[in-house]
Parts: sequence; structure tokens; C-alpha cells
Amino acid sequence: MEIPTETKNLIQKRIDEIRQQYPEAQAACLPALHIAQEHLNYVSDDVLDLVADTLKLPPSFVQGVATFYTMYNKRKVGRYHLQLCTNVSCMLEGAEELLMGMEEHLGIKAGETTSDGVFTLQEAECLAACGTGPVLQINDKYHESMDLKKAIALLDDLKNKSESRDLATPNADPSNPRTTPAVKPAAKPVAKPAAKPAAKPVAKPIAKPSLKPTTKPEAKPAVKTETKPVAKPAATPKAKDSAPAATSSASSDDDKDE
Amino acid sequence: MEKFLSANFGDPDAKKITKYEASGGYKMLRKAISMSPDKIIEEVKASKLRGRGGAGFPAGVKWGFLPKGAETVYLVINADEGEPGTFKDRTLMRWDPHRLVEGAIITCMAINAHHAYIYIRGELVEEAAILETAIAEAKQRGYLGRSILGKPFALEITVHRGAGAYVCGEETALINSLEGRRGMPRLKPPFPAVAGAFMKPTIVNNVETISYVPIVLEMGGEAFANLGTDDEGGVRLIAISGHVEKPGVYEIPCGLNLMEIINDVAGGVRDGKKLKGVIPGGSSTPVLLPEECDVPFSVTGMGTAESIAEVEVWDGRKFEVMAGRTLRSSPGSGAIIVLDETVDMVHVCARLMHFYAHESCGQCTPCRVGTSWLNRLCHKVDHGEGVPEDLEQLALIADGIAGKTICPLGDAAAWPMLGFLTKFRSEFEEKVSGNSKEGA
Repeated sequence: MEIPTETKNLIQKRIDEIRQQYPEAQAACLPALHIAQEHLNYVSDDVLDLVADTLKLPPSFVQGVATFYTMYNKRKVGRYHLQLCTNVSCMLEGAEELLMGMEEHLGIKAGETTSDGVFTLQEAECLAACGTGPVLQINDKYHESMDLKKAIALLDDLKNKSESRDLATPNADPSNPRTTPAVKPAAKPVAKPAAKPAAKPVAKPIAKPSLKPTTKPEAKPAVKTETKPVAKPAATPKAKDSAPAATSSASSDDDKDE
Repeated sequence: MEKFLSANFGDPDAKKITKYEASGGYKMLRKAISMSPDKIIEEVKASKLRGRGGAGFPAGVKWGFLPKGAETVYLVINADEGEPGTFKDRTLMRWDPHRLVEGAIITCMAINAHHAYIYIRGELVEEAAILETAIAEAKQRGYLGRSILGKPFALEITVHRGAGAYVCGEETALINSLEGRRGMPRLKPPFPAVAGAFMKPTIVNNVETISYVPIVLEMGGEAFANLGTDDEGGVRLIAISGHVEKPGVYEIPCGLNLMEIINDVAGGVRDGKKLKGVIPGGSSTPVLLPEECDVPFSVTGMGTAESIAEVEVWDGRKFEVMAGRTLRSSPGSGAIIVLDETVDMVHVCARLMHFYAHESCGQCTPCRVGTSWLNRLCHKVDHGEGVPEDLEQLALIADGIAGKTICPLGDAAAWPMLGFLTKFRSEFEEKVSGNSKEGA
């Protein structure tokens, strides 16, 4: 997968800002990988090259770093990355049964992605919220004191939202302010709708009647609601991914990292 | 009991600078400005404040290791809270980020650091954002930046997110990770105080430790020390989870009786069940039997209490942390996991071994190979497929890891393994009884 120039520029700009905070460029490696992944869903070879290039590091070094840490996705993940802690404190509160229940509900095993590309389910190690286990992390957000009933309600809700949205939107969790940095908290409810360089809708959305552009998957403080360019139509042609989309079932219509 | 560190927990406004200031926040920063660095360090030494990350090293003493006259010094705050059972730092950062920021500024003045990094675990996106907001607010107020309240002392604080690696909680691994490398621990010496981040003298302290600094200045070191025990000053946060009525984060005086913590602070074992065991200080600390919990919750208290049985490699052979020093238990990171009578201890142990195998960085052979081996073997036993010889093997592997690795992750896996085997041997035996090598 080729990284679109716009995205590339945005990522490089963000990395350049961050590296100012360190005496050596190399120290920006972790934040840079975070940034790139926020935009591009997972750390592909292209992402490694981009980060290496931006920080003037050998790609092999960046790959070594990326593969060391669990948070960098080595393969494409679903729109909602579900990580359930099953370590002792959560286990005592029923996390193992919850995991089985979620596997059954989603029809996948831990480590897999649903065929529609909406959910990736994973077991996680301790998430530092042991007093309110089991903890389910969905993208960046913690959901605590989970049980199967709550989890299923949550998943169904997310599933509905993802259907009313355009799945081709880049992974960037819309509820995540970090992926829309150009906008900053300054989120004024806006005169200019488009404007952001990053936003450029490439092709016209195939205006589905029901397509509610401003709907956010996760209710977050109203602030940046308008900031999301939304746009990105499902239109992108199916470029072959350089890295195999890998997960059990990543289907061909699951090309949202374009 | 009066609360010092947790006074603002639960107040959603406390993370705003106006509210923090209204309750006396940043006053100690003003005081610290008129103090000499040595005087601040003296107060912290007098407070007998010990590091709250798990190792319990006296904070003031650590600061004293910095070479005199070093030009560039870094403060690195360890917010990589990953020890299973521990959730106090996350709580602290969520509710009271300014206390950490104020503590960091004062500490930087004491050790002459002009850049502090808060290394926060990558999953805590929300808490990282809270800290960033707090830092921006402090900067706006003139507490940070080119000068501090007009004093010509430049200081920046950067929030640096990790990316999911338990081992980065170890200070030298954390430093490598901060520098953009794989988070593998470094050999010591040189210690970080001599050559740490970017090879400059560096002090690494836990979030909770740094957050006490304004409180120590306010009360005076000695008064703070008097809140705790002889060797461990002040109060501490504990995070209690598992089968108790009221799991959560609580502030206690150091040295409070562990049984009292479970029963009075956390409301006792849930649903009238009987207590079976307690993991007292995070998953790496050896598990305790109910009758061993009548001990002071402090490093010395739990390390030396006769009432806590020493961990054994096998019957009659005591495990030694180093020559002549046996192992009982430790308050570690203050994370208490309470296990009631329904819990399968072998299963808990196996889950923990899975954790350590997953988190071993792979640098040292005993840990890389040993933790995976423990994991496989422990699961085999847990599934009822083990043989009696496996139990001895488990002990031998654990003993073969402990003390033979660069960082304490190896010990962190070996100690609970041996702890569970020592304290709940009959459960392991039950799972392997009836199986024999030939039959398997």
C-alpha cells in the first residue's frame, strides 16, 4: 500500500514537531510509530520506511523497535480493536468467561478479526485498572467493570455505528484527538467546513442517504465533532496491500488503510 | 485519617489548575524557589520517603548519587505502571495531575534538571492527555518554560508514551525505550544517576514518589517521616483488587497491618467467603497464606516477619535472594490482590507465568528460556497433564532464573512461582496425582 502524500506530509509534520522535545532524533521513534499507526492502522513496511526516513534512522532499526512493543500492530486490525485484560485481577472478576463469551458473540477467536473488518479481538496483559476489572480497551478507551451483557451491548452499538459510517475512513479513531492534530482544541464549531489540508476528500462520497457524516462512534466531549473531515469515501480502488492483511479473515473489502 | 496524597481523588475539578491552586497547590513551588537544592534534598532524605515503584529505594539517597556539578541532568518519571494488580499511578494521574507536575518541578530544581520526561505506558492515552493539559496550564502560569516564576531556571516537561512492554518499568529499560530503542534493560553499573538517559546523569522516580515531594516540603521531612514507620516514612497508596468488598486505591500510613488493610480499609473478603491467599505487592511478590497476613505493610515488616514462611526451592532448601538472604515477601508496588477460597491457585500461577513469558524481553537466556518453560509446564500441570516430577522441575527452573539476569524480571517470575509452590504445594500435587511419567 502506498501512503498518500497528504497523509505522509501530515505524519512527517507531526513527527518533526515531536522530535524537538528530545536531544536526539532517535528518541522520537516510539512517538513517531504511534503517530503513523494512528493514521495508517498498522505498522506496514511503508510505515517503517516513512518513520526511518523522517528520523534518519536505518529501517532495520525502526523495525526492531516496532516489533518489540505490543502496541504497534504488525497486521491490519479492525476498526475497533478490542483488548481484554485477562491477567489475575481481571481473571478473578470473570475475564476468562467474558473472553469466551465475546469470542462466541463475534464468531472469532482472540487474535482474529471479524470478516467485515469491524472488530479485532485480543487478550491483553494488565492494563492498570485492576480495581474495576474486567477491563476492555476499545481503541484508546477503557471500559471498566465489564460483563458479557455490557460488552455485547457495547459491541452491537459499535457495529451499528460502523455500518452507518464509511469503513474506508482511515483507522484513525475519530474519538481520538491525536489523529486530528492540525485542528487542535481550538475546535470552533466552524465557519469553514473543509479547509484542512489533510481533509481533501479525494472523490465524492457516494452519498448514501443514511450517511451521517458527523456521527462519532464514541460520544466524546462535543468539541471536535466538526473537525473530522469525514469525507473519505469508500471509493478507493482496491490497491493490493504490500503486507498481507493477514488476520484470519481480513476480507478484500477491508481496505480502510488506504 | 487525614489524607495527603489522595485528598483530591474523586473530585473531577481537581485536575484543573485553578482548583489545585485554590487548595494550596503550587505554594510549595514558591517555597522551593527560595530554598537551596541541597536543602530540598535534605528534607526529602529526612522524610524517609522510599521509592513507590516496587523496589522501595530511599528517594533522597538516590538523588544524592548524582555526580556533583553535572551539566546536564534529566529527571525521568516512571509512569509505566504495568505490574499486575497495580493501578495507583493511573489513579493519581487521572485525579491529581498537578501534584505530579509540581513535584516534578521541585525535584528538577533540587537535582538541577532542565528537562523532565514522564514515561507513561502507551495504553494510558487518556491519562497522557490529562498530564499534557496540566503541563500546558502550568506553563501558562509561569511555573514552567524559560523561567520558573521569574527565577532564571528553564524547565520543560515532556510526556512520552511507551508502547506496551512491562519490562520498560525497569529503569534502564525505560531509559532505552525513552531513547527510542527496544526496551531492553542495561547492565549496571553505570547506574542511571551517572549515565542514564542520553548517557547523562538521570534520576528515575515513580509517579507516586514524585507526587509526595510538595507534601514533604509542606509538612517538613521529619513530620512526614513520622506518619510511617522507623525505616519507611509517610503514607503510601495501595491498590487493592480481587475478592474484597471495596476494591480501589487507598492511602495508608506505611506499616499498617496487612490484615487490617484487607478487612477495615477494603471491607474484607467479598460475599462472606473465606480468605485463601494474598498477593501482597503486585504479582511478582510471593503469595501469603491468610495466617501470614498479620504483618506490617512495609519493606522491613514483610521482609523479616517471622510469621511469614520463607520461600523454598524444595522441602528444606530455602531460596536465597543472595547468599544468606532468604525471601519472605514484600509490599512491592502496593498492589494487593485478594484471593478467596474459590480460587484455583495453580491456575492463577499459570496465568502469571504466561504474563512473564510474554513480557520477557529476551535478552538474558535464563529469563527468555526459563519463563517460557515455566509457562508451558505450569499450564500442563494446571490442565491436569503434569506428573509429580514436574513440580520439582518448576522449582529448579525458577531457581535457575532468579538472580541470573540483568534485570529483576527474571526474579519477578521466579519468586511468585516458588511462592505458590511453597505455600500451595498440595494444590499442585493434587493436579499431578495419579499421573506418572510412563503413563504420560
